[in-house]
Parts: sequence; structure tokens; C-alpha cells
Amino acid sequence: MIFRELDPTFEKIAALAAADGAAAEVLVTREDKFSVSVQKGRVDKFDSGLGLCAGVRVVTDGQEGCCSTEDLSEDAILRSYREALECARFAAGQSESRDAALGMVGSGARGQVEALPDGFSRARAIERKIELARQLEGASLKRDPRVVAVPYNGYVESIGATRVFNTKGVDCASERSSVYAYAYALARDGAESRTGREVFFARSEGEFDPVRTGGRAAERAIAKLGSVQPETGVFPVLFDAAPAAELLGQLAAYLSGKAVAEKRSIFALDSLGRPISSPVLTIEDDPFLPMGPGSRPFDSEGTEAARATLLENGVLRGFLLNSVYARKLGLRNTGHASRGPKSELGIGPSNWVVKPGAEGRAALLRRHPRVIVVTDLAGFHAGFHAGSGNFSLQAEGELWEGGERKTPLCNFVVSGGFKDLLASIEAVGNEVPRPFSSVVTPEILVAGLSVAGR
Amino acid sequence: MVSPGVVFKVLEAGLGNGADFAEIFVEDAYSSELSMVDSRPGKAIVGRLRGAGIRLFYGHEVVYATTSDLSEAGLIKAARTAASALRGAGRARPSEPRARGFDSIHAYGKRPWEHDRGMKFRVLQALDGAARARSSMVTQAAPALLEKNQKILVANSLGTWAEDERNYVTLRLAVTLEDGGEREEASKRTGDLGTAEVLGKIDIEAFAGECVDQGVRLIHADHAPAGEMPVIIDNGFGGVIFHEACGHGLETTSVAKNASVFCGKLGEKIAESCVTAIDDGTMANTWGSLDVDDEGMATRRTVLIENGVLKSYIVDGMGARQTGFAPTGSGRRQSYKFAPASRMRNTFLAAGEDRLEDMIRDVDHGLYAKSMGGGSVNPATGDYNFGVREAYLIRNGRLEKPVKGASLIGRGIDTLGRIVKVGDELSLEPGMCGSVSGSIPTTVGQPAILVSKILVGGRAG
Repeated sequence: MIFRELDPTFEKIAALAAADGAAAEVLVTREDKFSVSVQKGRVDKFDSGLGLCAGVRVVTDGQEGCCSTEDLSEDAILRSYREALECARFAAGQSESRDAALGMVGSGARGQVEALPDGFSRARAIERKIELARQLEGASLKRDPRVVAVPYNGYVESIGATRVFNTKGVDCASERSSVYAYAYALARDGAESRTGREVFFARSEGEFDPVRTGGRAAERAIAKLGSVQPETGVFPVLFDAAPAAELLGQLAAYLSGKAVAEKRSIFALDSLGRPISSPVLTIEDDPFLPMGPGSRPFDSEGTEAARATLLENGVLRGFLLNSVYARKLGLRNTGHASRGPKSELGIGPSNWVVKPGAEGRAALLRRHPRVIVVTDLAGFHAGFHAGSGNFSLQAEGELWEGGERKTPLCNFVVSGGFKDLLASIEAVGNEVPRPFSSVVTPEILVAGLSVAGR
Repeated sequence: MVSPGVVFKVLEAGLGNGADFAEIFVEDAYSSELSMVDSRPGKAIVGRLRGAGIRLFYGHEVVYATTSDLSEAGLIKAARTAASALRGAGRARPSEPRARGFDSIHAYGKRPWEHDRGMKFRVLQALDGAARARSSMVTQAAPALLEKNQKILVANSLGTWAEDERNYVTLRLAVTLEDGGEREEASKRTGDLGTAEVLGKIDIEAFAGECVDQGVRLIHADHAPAGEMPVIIDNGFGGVIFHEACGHGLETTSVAKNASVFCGKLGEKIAESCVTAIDDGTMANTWGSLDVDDEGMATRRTVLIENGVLKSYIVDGMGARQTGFAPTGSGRRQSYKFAPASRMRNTFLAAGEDRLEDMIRDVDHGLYAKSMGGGSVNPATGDYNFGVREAYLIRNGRLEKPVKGASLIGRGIDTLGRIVKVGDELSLEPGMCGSVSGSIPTTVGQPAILVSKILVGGRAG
């Protein structure tokens, strides 16, 4: 079992919590991570670090308190328990009402349920890692002389471990690895500068092809040269897989049972069983997706992970729930507790997977005489207003006419309301991209969206 | 936090494989968050972050290693890990550290753990009550108080030894409003380089009132129009336009990679003469201020643009090596987990002479952006975007009606050249800035400015 050396500490916490009339949970994480980026073949930055953290969550008298420490000594973790208890007792003293839903999972996972994939080496030569980063940058620079730099690039490896222990009987651990690489190629032609990005995610280094990732970033940047501003109007818009993932990922936040209970979602409990999008949209949360960045055997409370269908042919079938918000809303816990050692209990998806449709990209682009393809979106944190669902986002893309690419586009904004966007999704593409984030979706075609340009 | 003797050994280990410079950054930070939701206690969280980052230079190449083990053995192991990444020709030996004392320009009261939690919670209760009393449309109020105490030590092989303590306090309110099937959110925050005593100076009723009133004004507002038009950006957080559109492009993090549209423009006129921009770390108890930066250099005031002429970049230690410009005391990082980079502090446009009313009168058809949201920029292209929280349509020199959902996009260097009027009333607002060295407190600010043309991303049709 990972963190076996902490077993005596956990036993002491169990004894303390029993004496204090409290329930306690300890979430311990370890992340051994390094990243390297290069500029013109030389190491620009090489980062390596081992991060350890323990987060103690205590529930007593209908209140929760949390405390974290990066010192995993017994003294430090026991001190964190006492501080978390003090926080919970303080909060309980500020309110006469008790939150009966607060508590901990009593029948979650036990044991170590995931190990590193075969072939993941902890001690690969540093030179080999630096060489991968060089190949990544080099592939971008060599693809076209107009690629003048790859100002942001990196090859990142991480091995992480998590153990969840609580005083109700949960004790589980898992270990995972990831390889992540990114390249932002900068292409220049006269006074025009454009960047193209490509990201890659896998569980082990062997799958990483730096030439492909770096080359693809360059191709994206080059394809944007000669961009013009589209005219202002309402157009059919095809979102490529990456921007579609950014948009549809917002739905996961709205379908969090916590957001619903706290009235921060644009959907309410009575939306269950009703259509909230066009019937072409079906979304499943899949914690077992092979190569999924969000794959996990159990959630942050230790509840065993399970697949959940959230949206079926446009009809809302469920919310993402942890044990607390399942009790609050009178629904079944779906195993979507999410927290880090430094945060309180929350809710989050694992892999948010959109079911592919029947048509390929070429067919989608021929559905309308003119289609604006959005290849990149920016400014979510400023341009997406979660409270109202209104968005206004900076975009780059392409104009297609009669199924043919006419020109790259820049400096425009796509705007709308999120509910309207969901309702006007006309089709979902049939190509499922390799997962590069925890939202996995083919491209989506939206019937009509406001475009601000010339 | 770590003795000079141990620091010397760590730096010596760092230089062991031919690095020509070694630095250690040690941090011991305490953070606390209290919040409410549904008029009940929400979060009650405390945490301790404690560790060190060891940075080595091999010419223009950088290696950084972190550890949360502050024992002598743990630190030396981290230094050796860093040194094993590259091999250099350097033969440097660390200089004996020279402690550099300074009088802090900031005044602090009780540290976060010394204050009565009850007092803090009562501030949140008062905010919650005031927000809900302000309008029956308020369906949720979420006040929160965040405090942080950060002690740092920076020492390097050139003999630098600097210790500092920083305290931050932020009061935040987010409200959700519903009326007639429409929903809106509004938020407001303070941010001080200080301690919880500052809470006593906040007018709770006014703070909650401003937050709720903005939501009330917006909930039934029309959507902003779409297209290019003159835009007046009001003072305070409007300064985010300079921060995003220009500030990031002036950081040597971008300039050294030839990935900024401002490369090679030092000494050139890049804006109208009415534009002067400053990045100042020396403002007492101001959110983005410092005593020393995270590379151990005393903070300072840097004039970036003076009367339209580019005067300085924002330069950290490695940026200075790569570009040849003198460091500006701007090396900053979120925590020991990040290597420092050139970052902004309190960055603002200096006051001019124009009055807001006159600017509005000069616009036939345009937008008055009264309150800004955040934004982001691609430094390599200069393309920026930022959200407008509250805006008004201007027609024939008058404010016609409130509009919502606008975003402004453009290319920083173009927008800078289109600032044609600068107002006479400067104000500053705190914010958080995310970039390569993490999320750090920065202040943005400006007087009201008139930009002759920006693309407004509203609704077409």
C-alpha cells in the first residue's frame, strides 16, 4: 500500500476522532514531476520536484474544517487534524442550524486499486527527456521557414500517488503516471504573427511522437497566416474538437450537484428528465476511459468510480454528486467527489465524453453554403459568465464555402447564451479525438451563432 | 528558516556540475480561508506550505528543482538533483552570504493566526446580510475572507541574502440574482498587502451595495452590440487592458524569446504622447508591492512608457542575462514550486488631463466600459481579450442604456496607439495574474481612457 508508513498516524487519528466525536478523512498525495522546455535547442528551463501533501478534513456538529500540510511527519499530520477540528468546531459555533448532509463515505473502496502502467520507468535518463523536448521544438522549426520560434513548449512527466483514509472504513490508494507535451509555434510573414498549438497526453513516454506533435503545431500556425477578419453576422459555426471541449466542459460545472444545490447553476433539480439540449447530444462521464486524463478508480472521498450518463439524446439524466450533495438533493451518490489536500470537498467530472455522431467533417462542412470553423477559443475566464450562461469569446478559425476552405480568420468573437448553444447543436462529428484533456468530444456544428468581426 | 552554513553547502552542491550561478528560495507560508454560503459557514480551511526551490544557471539555460524537505540532507539532495540535469564549464564557488537588512515599507498588524476568527466571521455575516437586504433578487451570497502570511529567504552564489515577510488579505463577495427567469452574477473584492485590521476600514453596506447593484443593473440589460467602435474604458480595473494588451508583452519572459510584438522597440514612440505607463513595486501596503522581489533584489518603480515612448522592459535575473537590460526587481513567483519570471507589480497608466464627461460627449456611437472583468493575451502575437462586466451604449455623446456580455479584443500594440484621451482621475484595483511562474497578486489601474477603435464582441443582428 502506498504511504504505508502513515498507517500508525492514521490509527492515531481514528482514535482521536472517536474521542472527539468527529469523523475524519486524510487525503495524501505525492507528485514526482519534471518538465523541460528548450529554446533553439538549448534548455530554457528544466524543472523537477517532489511534492507531498496531506489534507485532513474533519466533520463534527454538522460542520466541516480542513487543514493541509506539506510535512508528512506524524506530528505535522496530527497537528493538522487538531487544526481542522478547531476549524469545524469554530464554524459549528457560528450557526445554530446543523447541516445534516455533511459526513463521510462509509462503504468506499479499500486497498490499492491501480498501479503504474507497464513500461513506465522512474529512472529514465535525463538526456533522453531533454532530447524529446529538442525534437519537439525542432520538428516545429523545421516544418516551415516561416516558423520563427516555439516560445512555449514543454515535455512533462509526472508520477502521482493518492491515498484516502477515513474513520468510517475507507482506505484506498492508487498510483498513476502521465506524459504531457505541448508546443506553441510562432509563424511570421511580414508584420503578421500567428501561433499554432498542439498538445499531447499519454500514460507513458513510449507513445509520444515529438515530431508529430511539434510538426502539427507548426502546421496550425502556418495555416493561420493570411487571416482576415470575418464580417459581423450570424453564421453556422463548426467548433473543432479542442474548442468544442472547452465549451462543453462548462456543462460539467453546471451539472455539479453542489452548483445546483447552491443555486449557482443555470439548471435546477427539476431539469432532471427534461431536454436541455438538442437531441444529437449524449454525454457520459467515464472514469475508466483508456488513456483518459481524468480516469480514476475512486473519487476523492474513496467512493468507487462508476460510469454515469448525464445527458441522453438531449435529456438530462443525472447530476454529478458526492456523498454530501447526494444526501442534500435526495439522489444517489455518483462518485464524483473532487478535492485536493488543500481544498474542501467539492465535485468534479472524471472524463467527460461526448458520444460521436454519424457524419464526418466533410459532410458537416457541406451542410450549409457558408460555415465558420472555430479552431481556437480564448478568454474563457473573462468571457464566459457562469452565472448567466452568456459568453463572448475571442476566436480564430476558417471560412468554408460549399465544403471548401476559403480563408483563415482572426480577430473575431463568438457570442451567445449557453442554453441556446446547447439547443442549437445541429450535429456531432463522427471522429473521436485522442484524449488530450478530460473532456473528449468530436467537433460540433452549431446552427447559428453571433459572430462579431468587421 | 535555513542557516547560512547550510545555504552555503546547498549553493556549493548546486554549482558542482559547472553551473555559473546558484540560488535558493525558501518559503514558509500560512494561508486561511473562511467563507459562507446559504447564510451558513462554508469553508473553514487553513494550510501550511513549506519548501525550497533551487535554481541554477548554465549561461542562458535554467535548471530548477523543488523540495518540501528543508533538512540539510534534503536541500543538498535537491541541489544535486538540479546539478545533475546539465553539465557546464563554470568554476564558480559561492560567495559568503551577505545579509542585506532593510526597513520594510509596509506596515502589518496581527498575523492571520493571531486574529480572532469570530471577528472575521462577523464581517462575513455582515456582508451576507447586507447583500441579501439590498435586493430581493439576490438568491445566493457567498462572502469569503482569504489571508496569507508568506516568509521567504533568497540567497545566491553571488552573496545575496534577503529575507522578507509578506501578508495579504482579501475580502470577496459573489452574489447570484434571479428575476423573471433571468439570472446574473456579480462580484467584488478588496486586496491589500496587509493584515485583517484593514477589514475595519471597509464600509460593509457600501461594499455589498455596489456588488448587488451592479447585478441588478445588468440582469435585464440588453446584450452589447457587435462590431468595431470607439470605447471609453473607465478607471480602476479598466487598467487590465494595459496589463493584458501591453504589460505581458514587456516582460523579458516574452522579449528574450523574440516572442513579443514589443521586441526591438525600446526608445521608439509606440503610443500617443498622452500615454505614460508605470510598474511600481514600492507603493506602501499596496496589493502588488514588495520589499524585495523573489530573486532578492530591492523592488523599485519602473517607468515603462513615458509620453508614448517605450522606456523599459520588465526584467528579471535571467531576462537580464538574455537581453542585456538591467533587472528591474521584477522576479516573482507564486511559491517555491515555481522558478521566478519577470512579472508585473502595480501597473498603471498615469493620469492625464481629460474629463470622463468630455470623453463621453465626444463619442457619437460607442461603448462606455464602466467595469471590466479579467482578460488574457497571447504575448507572441499581442492578441488580447477581456470581458466587460458592466457597459453602457453611447449615442450622440450620451449614455443611452446598460448593456452586458461584451468582450473587447484586439492587438495590444494597435490598441496602445489608439488611446487618444487619458482622464484625470487615476484609481487602482487588485487582481490576480496567472503566468509562467504561477498566480501572483498584481494591481492594475488607470484613469478613464478613450480608445478610438476596438472590436466589441457582443451579439450580432
